[in-house]
Amino acid sequence: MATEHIQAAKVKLSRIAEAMKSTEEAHADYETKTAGMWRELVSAGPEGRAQRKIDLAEHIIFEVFDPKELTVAEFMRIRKRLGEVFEILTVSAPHLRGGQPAIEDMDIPNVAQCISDALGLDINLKEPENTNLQKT
Amino acid sequence: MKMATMQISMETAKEKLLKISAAMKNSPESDTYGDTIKMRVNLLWRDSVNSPNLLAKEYLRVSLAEYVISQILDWDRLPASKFLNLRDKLVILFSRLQTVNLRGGNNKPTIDQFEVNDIAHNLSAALELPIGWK
Repeated sequence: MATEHIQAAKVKLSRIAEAMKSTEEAHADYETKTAGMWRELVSAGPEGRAQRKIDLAEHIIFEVFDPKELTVAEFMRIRKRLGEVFEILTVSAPHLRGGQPAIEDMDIPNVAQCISDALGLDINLKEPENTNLQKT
Repeated sequence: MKMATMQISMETAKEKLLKISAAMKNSPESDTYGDTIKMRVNLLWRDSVNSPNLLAKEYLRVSLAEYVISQILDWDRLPASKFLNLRDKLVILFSRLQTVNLRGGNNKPTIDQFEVNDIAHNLSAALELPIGWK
């Protein structure tokens, strides 16, 4: 992936993670389609959960990839991995966690990294880029 | 649909679509025992018709559409954009076939008014396959 594409992907992934971490009360600014879809997934009952996972996964995939460039085989693999990440992020033992999904205990770069890995992107979002190294 | 994205011949596609249609219609010839395609299609269709939950209904229609596409087209060649377009068309078709005909007073889904051949014809049209049905 070209450097400019990596930068664009980093920004998008961070925004997606930010939107997923947002809550209606605290971060009205992050009210985006992603945030809305994430909340619908978290609050879905067992019967609606599968469709909500597909909706959000496909939304994220096409935020990052061009659907004309992606084959269905790749698309399916990525969608499956994203579904697994959503399971991890929403998990829970809500009764032990005060009703909050696991994502509440993660910071934005970590959430973004989970999504990036599921998308198969070779991007490091956890470590801040050190651009100030100097020769001594 | 370009031949390059087909994973089987047109003749085999026609046979498969007839089998899928029979399994959806649940007519006597759709005895699903020992036939994976018929079993899976019949199960997804029946659960979708019977589910009281709208999201679950939608999920099952989407799953059935994806399964039908996977049986005919080559996923290693088909672009995701085309796949989404075909899936949408199939989901709309399933939704129409599941609409209960209240005016007739019989409360049966629309699919009951179609022959297996007609359903297969509609499936191939949604998939943009140049198959002759006459």
